[in-house]
Amino acid sequence: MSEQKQANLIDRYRRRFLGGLTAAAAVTLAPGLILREVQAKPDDQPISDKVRWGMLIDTNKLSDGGDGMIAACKKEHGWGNDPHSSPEQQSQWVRKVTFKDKLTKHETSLPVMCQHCDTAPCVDVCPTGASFKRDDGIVLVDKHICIGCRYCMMACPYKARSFVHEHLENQKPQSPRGIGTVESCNMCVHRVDKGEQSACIEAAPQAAVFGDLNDPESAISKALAKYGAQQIRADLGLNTGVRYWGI
Amino acid sequence: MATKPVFSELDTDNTSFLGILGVLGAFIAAAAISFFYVEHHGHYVTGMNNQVVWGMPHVFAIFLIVAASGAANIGSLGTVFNKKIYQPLGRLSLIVAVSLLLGGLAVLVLDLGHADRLIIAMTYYNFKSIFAWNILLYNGFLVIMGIYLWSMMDRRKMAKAAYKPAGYVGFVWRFILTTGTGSIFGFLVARQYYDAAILAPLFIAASYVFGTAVFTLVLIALYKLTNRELGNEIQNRLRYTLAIFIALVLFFEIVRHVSNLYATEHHGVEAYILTGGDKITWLFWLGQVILGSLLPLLLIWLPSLKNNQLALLSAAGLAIFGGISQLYVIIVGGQLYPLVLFPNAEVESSYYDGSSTSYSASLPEFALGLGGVALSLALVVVAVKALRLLPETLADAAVADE
Amino acid sequence: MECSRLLNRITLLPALLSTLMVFLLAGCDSKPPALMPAVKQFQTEEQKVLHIADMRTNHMHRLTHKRDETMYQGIRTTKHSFNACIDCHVPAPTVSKVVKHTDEEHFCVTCHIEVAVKLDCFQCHADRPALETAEVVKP
Ligand code: HEC
Ligand code: HEC
Ligand code: HEC
Repeated sequence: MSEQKQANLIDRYRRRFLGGLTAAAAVTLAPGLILREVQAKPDDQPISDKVRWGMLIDTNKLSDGGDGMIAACKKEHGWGNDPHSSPEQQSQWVRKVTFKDKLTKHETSLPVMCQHCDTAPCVDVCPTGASFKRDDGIVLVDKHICIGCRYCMMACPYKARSFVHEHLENQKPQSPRGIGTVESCNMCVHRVDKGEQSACIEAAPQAAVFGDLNDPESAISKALAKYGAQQIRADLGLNTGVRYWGI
Repeated sequence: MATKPVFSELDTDNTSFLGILGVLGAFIAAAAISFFYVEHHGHYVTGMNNQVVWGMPHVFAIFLIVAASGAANIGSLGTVFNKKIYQPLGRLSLIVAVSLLLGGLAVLVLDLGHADRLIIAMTYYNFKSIFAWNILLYNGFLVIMGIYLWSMMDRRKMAKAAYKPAGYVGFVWRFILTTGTGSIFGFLVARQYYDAAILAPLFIAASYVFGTAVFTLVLIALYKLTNRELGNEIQNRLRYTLAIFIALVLFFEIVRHVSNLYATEHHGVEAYILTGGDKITWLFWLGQVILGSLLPLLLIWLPSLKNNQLALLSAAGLAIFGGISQLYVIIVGGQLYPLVLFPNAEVESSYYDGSSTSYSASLPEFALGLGGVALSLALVVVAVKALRLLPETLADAAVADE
Repeated sequence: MECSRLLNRITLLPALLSTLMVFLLAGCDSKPPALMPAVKQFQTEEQKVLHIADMRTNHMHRLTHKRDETMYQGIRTTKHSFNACIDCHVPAPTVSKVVKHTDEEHFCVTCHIEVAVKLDCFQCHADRPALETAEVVKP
């Protein structure tokens, strides 16, 4: 086989592969569709376990590696600038992780936050049950009964949780945060309950979809069914609610 | 010939009793100040952070809790294994155990982010959590040890009847308790350093070392203080118990590290701990292995040091230092090594992914930990002053020979 | 003998405490301290009267109930919502004046100082309406 021909073959394969991704991402490009996607639940109705909220993030489409999503999260929840805490002590609901494959030297950046595991280690270890999974799959801390033991932080494989190291003032009304308790990405429950999507998803409509993983008709389920997706540390078998393309 | 031991309260002069309490009280006060200081400002004044979430207070707390179970071993040896020579020591053994547990729990609780919500920890239980089970195990331990002690001290028939069962229950409970404490770490699958079932037996063996060492120091100190006679027979028993379990812990550690070296995924963390060159590596080799294990073994087994009380005291002290080092390496070292999100890749982030972080304990953390130790000792001192726990003599002639 | 005296003392303590509580509550009920007037009003007078009667005695239960409903079931009606209390009862911050939970005049704080019940809610919860809400409130 001539070199020319082989290069062509690879090229063709590449084109097909990328084409597939674009097609799937096109789904995400239609914001109208997504808004209908997340059905507004009446305010007075409890959430249902028929739903499982999830996210799909296409790292190839994230030109900034997730910086925009992270900024949106900070703005929504107000973490990251606690005046007295050292950089190691600052809360970090979501962070940008960059990894370079040792062999191929290919570099990828992605936002890493609470992965909203189905079998969440943080929920299992919490002595008081403050760390819990809502019926719709969102993993939360009930800060009213959190005693601040940090066992969940020891258990989390993603370092997704932070402990608030100081007294805070002037928090965001929609996102109460406070001293001596553990916090993490809550998928913006206050928005989800109103039928909106998480702040970070809104900040990166070209690269991220939010939706119901249990509904086969949702855009996220369709994209996942067609192209699959990766989980970080899939070997742990946690069945995460946050999935990625391109890692 | 053994005679029935006569127990009596601490018969020292009040000045030395109050003097000791005064010194311990100073440590306890320092811990109290530290607690309020951290409570008032928040944990940012400590060395702990979101990478190393458990630090020096937890090292002390877990040391005391694990030691508690080991200290009760002397009681078990007398009751369950019917070793007559240990029976006079049973009362003191249980009091030391209970005091150590209380000291450890105090430290653990006072380090919580919301220590004021302790009532929640007692009323909301998540039964899937080993931590919640531990809360029950600790409370159960206190109750069982209380009954056990009563069965030793009360002369009524009922107490006599309860003695053996209480001893057996206590013995089993101790095992479960130490296993539970070890499992706090054993269940953390995501952390490379903890992902091993061998942590549970390791903690059990370590509990004997810590408990015996603390008990030895307390016993010798109390007998010096009261000018009572403490024969070689008892001290040699403690000496050998200490040695056997130091050797066992060393063995488990070798097995743990070697089996970790078999699993490729654990090479990184093993290299970091064993050869990383950080404080942790020094603590492991110098603190835990050489000063904390080999040197005490030497002090115990050198024939020329037989019956040498100073050698025993040093060995026990070093074993405690080794134990603290060991727990520091496990607890802090295990967290310093980064979580592995992407194997086979170089990882970096603004939040210390892919690189090991650092931790140095702040003064309030040390003060809190030492306060826990002081609280335990103070409880022992008060108990032996108020109750008839100490045999009037433990001279060789007075203790049973088997 | 000894024992029963001790028991007496143990039962006496809560009894004393609860009497004290009743006095304090009664004090609050009959003669509430001068409270910061609400920023927003109810649509009808009847609603307001009911609200006052209910809240004076039951606000802590309503809040706790609502808290669990929201946390665990995602029920987000404004009724008894913490943020709604704050929006109605605390003025939005302006350039010249910000009412904080550390100030005695803060609606929730005035009474609580009076009855000496410490609130930890404001360790986390916003003690003043967000600015967006402030704009809406303006006539
Ligand atoms: C729609 C606006 C509104 C909301 C929402 C609201 N209140 Fe009120 N509240 C009022 C008004 C108006 C009064 C009457 C007193 C006044 O006008 O200042 C009042 C009175 C009270 C009083 C009685 C004060 C007294 O005079 O003794 C309490 C207590 C109270 N509210 C607590 C709460 C709590 C707690 C919440 C949240 C669960 C809440 N309120 C939500 C408007 C509101
Ligand atoms: C009219 C006076 C008054 C006002 C105004 C008031 N409270 Fe209270 N609150 C009380 C009293 C009295 C108690 C104590 C009740 C008891 O312990 O039985 C109490 C108790 C509570 C409790 C339970 C505390 C505990 O530890 O048990 C909470 C929570 C609470 N209030 C929240 C609020 C909030 C939030 C506001 C502001 C929106 C507020 N209160 C305004 C009088 C008031
Ligand atoms: C350690 C932080 C923390 C403390 C302290 C705290 N909360 Fe909350 N609270 C939260 C969080 C987080 C939520 C969830 C917000 C959401 O999902 O939108 C919440 C939600 C609520 C809600 C439902 C949301 C709403 O706006 O109605 C109520 C009611 C509530 N809390 C009441 C209280 C009361 C009363 C106290 C004081 C006794 C308190 N909280 C103390 C963190 C805290």
